[in-house]
Order: sequence, then structure tokens, then C-alpha cells
Amino acid sequence: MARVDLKGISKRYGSSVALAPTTLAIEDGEFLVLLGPSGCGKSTLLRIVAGLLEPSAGELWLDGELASERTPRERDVALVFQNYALYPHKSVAKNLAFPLEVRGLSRASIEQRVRETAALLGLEALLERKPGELSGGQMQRVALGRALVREPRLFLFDEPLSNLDAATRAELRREIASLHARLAITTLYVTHDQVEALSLGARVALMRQGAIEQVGAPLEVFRRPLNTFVATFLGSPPMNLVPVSINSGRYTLGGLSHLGAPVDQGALVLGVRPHQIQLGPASARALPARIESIERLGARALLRLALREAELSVEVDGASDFERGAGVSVAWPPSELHWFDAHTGARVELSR
Amino acid sequence: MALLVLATLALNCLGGEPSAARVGEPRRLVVMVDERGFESWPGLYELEREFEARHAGLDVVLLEQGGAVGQQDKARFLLAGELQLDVTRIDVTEFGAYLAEGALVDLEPYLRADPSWSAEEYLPVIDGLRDARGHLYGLPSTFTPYVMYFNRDLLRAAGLDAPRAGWTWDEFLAAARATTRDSDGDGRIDQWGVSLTQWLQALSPWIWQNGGELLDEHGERALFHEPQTVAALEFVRSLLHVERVASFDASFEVTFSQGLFQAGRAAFYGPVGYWETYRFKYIDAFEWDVAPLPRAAREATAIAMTAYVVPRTSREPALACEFVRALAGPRFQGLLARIGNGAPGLRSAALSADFLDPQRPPRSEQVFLDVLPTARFLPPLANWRAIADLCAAELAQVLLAEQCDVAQACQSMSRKVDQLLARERERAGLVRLRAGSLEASFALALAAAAALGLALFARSRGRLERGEQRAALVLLAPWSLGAALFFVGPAACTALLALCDWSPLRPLSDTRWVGAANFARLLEDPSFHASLRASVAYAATSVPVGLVLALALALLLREHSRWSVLTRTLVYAPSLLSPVVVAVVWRFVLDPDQGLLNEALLSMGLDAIPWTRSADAVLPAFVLMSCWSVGGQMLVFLAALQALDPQLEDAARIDGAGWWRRLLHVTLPQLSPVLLFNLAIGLLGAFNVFAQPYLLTQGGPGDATRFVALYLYESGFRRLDMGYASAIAAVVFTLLGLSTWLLLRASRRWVHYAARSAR
Repeated sequence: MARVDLKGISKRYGSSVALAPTTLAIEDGEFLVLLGPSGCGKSTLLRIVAGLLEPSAGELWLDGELASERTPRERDVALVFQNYALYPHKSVAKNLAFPLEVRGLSRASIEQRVRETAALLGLEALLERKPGELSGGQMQRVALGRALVREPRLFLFDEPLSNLDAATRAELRREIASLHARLAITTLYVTHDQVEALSLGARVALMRQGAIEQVGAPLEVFRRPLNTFVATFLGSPPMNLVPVSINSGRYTLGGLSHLGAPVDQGALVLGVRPHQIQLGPASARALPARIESIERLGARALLRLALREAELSVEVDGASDFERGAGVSVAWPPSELHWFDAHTGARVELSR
Repeated sequence: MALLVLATLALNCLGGEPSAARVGEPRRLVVMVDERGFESWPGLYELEREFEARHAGLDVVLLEQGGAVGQQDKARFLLAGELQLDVTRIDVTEFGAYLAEGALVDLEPYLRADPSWSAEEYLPVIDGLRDARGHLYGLPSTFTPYVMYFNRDLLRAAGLDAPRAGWTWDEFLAAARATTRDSDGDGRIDQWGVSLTQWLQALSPWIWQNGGELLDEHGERALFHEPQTVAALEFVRSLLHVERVASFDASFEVTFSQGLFQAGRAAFYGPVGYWETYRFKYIDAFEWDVAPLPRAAREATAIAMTAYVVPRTSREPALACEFVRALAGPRFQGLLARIGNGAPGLRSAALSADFLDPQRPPRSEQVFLDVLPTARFLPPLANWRAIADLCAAELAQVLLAEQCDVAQACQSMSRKVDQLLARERERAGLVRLRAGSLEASFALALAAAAALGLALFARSRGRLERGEQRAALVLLAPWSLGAALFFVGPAACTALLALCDWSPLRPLSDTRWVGAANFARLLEDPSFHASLRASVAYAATSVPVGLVLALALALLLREHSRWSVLTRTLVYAPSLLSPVVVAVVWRFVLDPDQGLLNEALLSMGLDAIPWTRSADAVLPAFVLMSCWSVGGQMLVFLAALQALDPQLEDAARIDGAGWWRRLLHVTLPQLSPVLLFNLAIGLLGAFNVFAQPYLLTQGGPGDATRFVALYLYESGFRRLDMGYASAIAAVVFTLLGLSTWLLLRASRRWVHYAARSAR
């Protein structure tokens, strides 16, 4: 169990910056997810915490001790890799035993811990097999076991579920969540999958181009994105972003001006999540739009609307009988609107 | 090496019998006689021009005979390959073998047809080139009796005169005692009375002088055990071990070394021939000269000679004989005398100022002619080389060992030589192999290989489409053809030859059946066992050392850095060199007297190590040399390392494993297939090493570097016992096949072919 403090950690390769100076704290027992597109620096950050990479600057503290200079072994962290990284020539049991052997545990206690871990993950039947004889899900279970078996202070995951099929992924995701609930080991989890991020993380840190854009509880980040990147990266389909124009001192959209925003904020972008948009029969008082396409997904249906120059995606009940080309009116609860600066993309809080 | 033998056989099988010049082809006269390097070439070119002018349409082709090592080998290659060779020069110790195998053209008819011919123009040494009927089979080039060199200044300093003709062993011993000194008083002798030579021809004069003989008058029994011989060897031994006035001079074989005599540290040097004047002429630190050998019961010395002969593969014997006469004629003999190659066999040249040049040391060149009446050739036996090799090894034991029962050792030497003589007599009664047997075995092996290939191909039919089949055939064809012609066929011939007696001096058609006799001999041949031991010792050290070094280098050079490309290239480059080049380069490194390695050791204040001269140091020296060529293995390791999944290494680091444990548990298991490959290839390579010992040590010191490949070569081309050489090849092939099979079987325990963790 450990508390992790990153203080101004950065990594550069020559002139290119892989990780901008980053400060981040992970509480003891917390499950923090690093979320971001590939190449955003989340794996770099993880590898620095693991001790596989040396930071160019900054300090890493573990439990109040400076750990930047320590080897992975001294840090006592466990890492689960995307491609499992099991030792191909060792049996499952030997794979599980290896970290314990390295630490010089007695033969008896190694055997006991391996058995316990195997029981925890349902690997008992696989102990004598070689990794080459296992399925992807089984291999990742073994990798999980190898990380768990020595009860590390800190648990690191590097996109552990990316190579698995959807069903296995969901199953293992639940398993990781329940393991964390049971063992409460501090966890840093890197993924590009927002479902994993939102479902697993106590907190989510969103990263882009080597910098953390926002850190917070999943719902907070989802409900109150601090910029357009966070707003569009989370949520599927992504939040609609529509530039609004300034007309005689009022922000207007589609000729209507009842947006209620003051004019002192400069150029703005309006954001609204697809499932918050309400559609009604065409009417002069509401915003008029036309249905460009319909994508039916069973329980839900996705519509693409043309609203003057802008396009909106809307999520509606799967049973609704909209037709392509039909005119509709668009409305949304003003409380569900997000405003962003058109130039910086930063969130703008509108006073009413 | 084995390839060389195979290729020779292949040439032979395909080449067929030499025929007289074919119609329309230009007539050629192939001559291979160069003496003492470049110095004889102007004279040869002159002879070539004159000969071509005299015989319109004739092309005289001059071939180089090669350097000091294996000088006699090239002629044997040409003969074994049935290639045209009209004139060559052989050592007279080879004469018996050439004559017995019918490898020489009888010159008598051609000489008699020439009214200007007279054998009287030559010194009596010419009689060493006659067969039992008195027919001449060659004309002398140069000859030299064995004499004693002495350092005039050292003798004078000891108050002694130059030795007179007819001086005795006692006088010799007294002079040696008087000149042996420990001048700096450190208990180690630094000035020797005698620097002794030790090969059979150099030791024979001692035996003869004491009234002993090497063989009986019929050449059927060895007489080493007779008391005169034992006493003679006891005398030589006493010079070394009792009187401590003599040291063996090892310099003769070692090219760069300066011998004791040349360094002014020995008063006498011998018995040895005229050829040493060639390198002693540069001595200006002291005055030196030659004297007859000291006598005991009688005066006697050995004689060395080279002769021009016409081999059986000559296509122009008449012209060849004419060319031989020109070579043995006054002009060329005069040139040889001026070069200082030896005494010319032509009387007029030997007595001329060209040879007896008073301006040139030694002052007493006349001695070489004066001792002729007491000089003898070694007996002209067909297997003289085998006997000489055996005796050299036995005599080295007798003379060098601190303790030795000479009489018993001589008994044993006689017994072994008797066996060799008996076998030589038996060879005459062997039955010829039926004509075409070798060709048939060649064809049979090809047919069997083709059938096997087709059967395998047919089995794969179901899995391949028609187009793929054709492509597979086309792609396999060049390799299969090469493997069939240059491996399968020759291998079958070798297997058959292993059951036969064949000298490369004979046509291949004259191969005689001996059954399993060659293999029976192998079982009892201590030299073969020694060579196997040497090879095993070499493989057991050089292979693991090479593997570890290659792996260590690969691990070091694995990371990309600014210098890694350069460093990798530097490490890899030597492995591209031919073994011959490696041997030549390392001769400069390992030479005990002037080598780089010893210079470095000395400059660091350490003792020099006699790398190529000590049986204990020579194996480490060879292992060191093999390390230089480790780049190929390094490259294979490097390629494998770069194909490894870096995440596994990361996983192990996270699991807490340090560098060593990661290497042992993660890197090595993944490298194990490559490790096995390098191990198997390295093992085969170690048993095939040939050029390095051949060029660097000629198998010595003792038998320390006479590895199986070298022993095989020496058996075939030096002792002219190709059947025996083939039997060695078969045994070594089987042993290596067996050990490779065992290695592969055992590897199942430690080689992991498991695919890298799936992505």
C-alpha cells in the first residue's frame, strides 16, 4: 500500500517532449486511471513510476520517500503488460513463482503463495501449462497473478485488456475492479478505453500530448469537462461542439438568440451531449433542423442533424420513428450546456 | 579440408585418363620447378623463351611450387587430379615413393637417343635417381651433404682451432665442453657448445658414423636396436642431458626466429645442410665456416638432394625430358649455384667459381664436395615418409626425455618400422579394384540421393499446387545439383576409398582393395588417437570460450550508440578473413621471439611465453586465435537479441530480477535455439580447423596441434595413404554426426522453441 507523489516529472528525448512537467498525487489505496489517445505520454508516465524509465526532471515520492533513483525492485511495484509478457519457457506455476524466487522466499512459502494466487484467479488447472498453450484471457489472468503474488505496494497496468476480445475484456474488467475492492492496493491504470476509465477509476486523469488536461472523479470529468479535448474524448458519441456567433450583442445560434449568454466572453463554442438533446415537431419557436442520417443500434438510435451550417449528433430511444430528411425542432435543458472559449478550448462558466 | 580431398576426388572421377594432346589444342608444357622463391625466375623465363622459340606452337606454362610449407603438396594434387604436369622438382626422399607408385617417366630411352648425353657430366649423386635396373628417372638440381657449422670467433676465444677433416667425436665433445658457458653466472647456460638438429636425416649420420645402419641390406628390417645405433643415440643424448653442452635448435621450423647459432650463442650447429648459408650470409657479428661432421668408427654423412623429374601425367614426355636437361644444364645450374641453393649436381657447375665463390661465406665451400664419398642417401622406400614421421616422433622422445631407456626405445622403434615395411610388402600383393568401381559408387550415391529427394518430394505433393511444385523444384535445383556433385558423390567415393589402398601418385584406376584394414589400423594408431585428443581438447576449450565471448560481445554491442556500428564492424570483420590469412597474421602475433604478444608481455614486465614452441602454451594460443574469428557467432547472437521481446526484460526488472538473473532466466532461455545453433556449428568448425595448424605449427610442438583434419591431410598427401585418410574422414564424420545427434537430443531439455508471448 502506498501513496504516490509525482512532482514536476518530465521526460524529453532530445528536443521532443514525451511528458511535460507533471505533478500528480495518488492516494493510498486509490485506483487512478490514466486515459488518453495513443502517444499522449500515459505509458511514459507509467514506466517512469515503474522505474523502467528515468525521468529527465522531477521527483517521484513513494510513501513520503524519494524514489526517483530507486530500482524497480526497491520500489516494490508490479506491472501488468498489454502483451502479458509471460516468460514463455516457464510454466504458469514458475511464472507466478519467479518474483518470489527473486526475493529469496522459502520454497514452502512460495508454493503456498502461488497456490493462493492461483485459487484467487481460478488458475489451478493451468499451473503446469506453458504460456503458449493458454488463451489471451488466461495469459492475462496469469500476468495478473504474477503481479499479485508478491503483494506489491503499487499496482501498475499498461493497457492490460487491449488485446482481448470484448467478452473477455468485460469479464476481466469486473475482476480487476473486484480485486481492487478486496485488496485496496494503490493502482495506476493506463488505458485509451473510456469505458475502462469510467468504470474502474476512482479518479481519472486525462492526458493529451504529454500533459494532464484534467483529473477528477469519472462523473465529474464527464459532467464538467475542463476543455473541448476532455469534452470530446469522453462520451460516445462525443459531445457536439457548435461555434456560436455574436449578433447585436447576443450569442445566437440558428437565428435564435435566447442562449442567455453575456457578450463579454468573446468567441465561444457551445457543447451539448447527444443524449441531452430533445427533439420535437418542427416549430418556429424552436431551432429547426433536418435529419441527415439514422443509425439504429437496438436500444438506442443515433441521428445526424443538419442545423444550418452545423451538424449535431443526437442519441434517442431506439423505438422512436424518425425518418431521414424529416424536419425536427431541437431543444436542450440550459443546465446541460457547456461553454468553451473558441480560441483556447478552455471551459467558460457563464454567470446568469 | 575434407572438401579439398573431396574436390580432388571429384576432379578425378570426372576428369578421366590423361590423353595425348588432342587435335587442334595448342601443345603445352607444364613446368613447376621454382627454387628459393623469386630468385630463380629470371633463369626460368629465359629457358621458357628459348624453348618456345625452338619448338614452334609450344606454350611453356610455368607454375609456382609454393612456399616452404607443403612445397611438395602441389605436385601431388596435380597427380591425384590427373592434371597435366610435365616437369617438376622433387625431394630425393620422395623418389622411392614416386618410383614405387609408377609416378615417374623413365628418362633412359630419351637420354640414350641423344648422342650428346653423358651421365659422366654429373657428380655421382646422380646415382640416387636410378631404379634397380640402373635407369635414370630424373636429373639432379642441387644437393647438399650434412656438415657442421661453427662459429670461428667462439672457438678462437676458447683457444681452439677450426676442426680439421677427420676430427673425432671426442674432439667434438671437448670443443663443445670448452665453449659451453654461463657467462653471467645465473646458473643458466647462455652460450652452448652445440645447437643440435633433430630430424631423422640429421640424426642418421651419428648412427652411420658409429657403424650402425637404419635398415638391413634388402630394406626389409629396421636395425635401430643394434648396439652401434643405441650407442650413437646414447652419445647424442649425453650431449644434451649428461654433458649439457648441447641444445636442440628449434629455429629450423619457425620462420621468423633467429636460432642459437645465428644469435652467436652456439659454437657448433649441425648436422645440417648447405641451405643454412642462405640465411647465415647476413651474419656480420662473427666469422663462421663449415667443417665435415666428426667421425667415430667411420666417416659418414647424409645427403639431401632435389631432382627434376617427369611425372606420369606428362603429355609431352620427350619435350619434358629435353626441358629437364636444360634445367640440369650448365647455365641454370650455374644460376642455382650463384643463388646459393646448394651444390649443383652438374660437375662443371659445382667446380666452378659460381659455387666455390671465395668472396662469399662459408670460406670452406669445398667441404660440401669433399665429404661426398662418405655421404649416403636415405633408403628409397615407397613409404619412407611414414617411416620418417614415425622415427622423428620416436627419436624426439628418446632424445628429449630426461629419463629414457634408449635400448628399449630403439627396440620398439625397430618393431614399428618393421611393421611399416611389412605392410609395404603386402601392398604389392593387393588386388586391384574392378575398373569403374569408384565411378559406380559415385553414380549409385547420386541415384540414391535423387531417389530419396524424389520420394520426399512426392510426399509433399498433396500439400503443394502444381505451380508451387515447379517453383520448388526450380529453387531447389542449383543447391541439390551442387550438393550431389560435390558432396554426395565424393562422400560415397571416400567411403569406398576407406576400404582401399590408393596413393595419390597412382592413377585412381589403380586402387586396391584392403577391406577393413584401414579401420583396424586406426584403432591401433597412437598418432590418430593423439590427433583426436588434440581436436577434442581444442573443441572443448575453443567452443565454450568462443560462445561466451560471442555472447558477451553481443550483449555489450546490443545497445545502439554512437560507436556501436563501428565496434560491431570491427568485431565482425576478422571472421570474414580466410583461415590462411588469420594464420599468417597470427604468426606475427604469436611468434615466441618477435611476436606482438610477447613484445606486449615483455613491455609490461611479464615473462615471454613460448606460444608456438611449448606443448602447454600452444593450445591456449590457438584458442586465443579462434577468439579473433568469433564475429560470425556474435552476429547471430546479436540478431537474436534484437528480435527478443523487450517487454519480457521489463517484466523481469519489475519482478525484481537483477542483471544476472535476467540473463539466466529471461535472455538465455530465449536465445537457446541460437545457442544450440552456434554450439553445433562451432563444434563442427573446431574439428575442421586446418589452415592454422598447417601454416603455424605443422602440428607441433610434438602432436599438440596435429588436429584430426591436419592428420587426415598428412596421411593422404604427405604419407600418400589416401585410403587411410578416407578412413579417418569416415570415422570423424561418424563421430561428429553422432555427437551432433546427441547434442540435438540433449538439447530438448534446455532449448525452448516456444513462440514468443503472443501479441
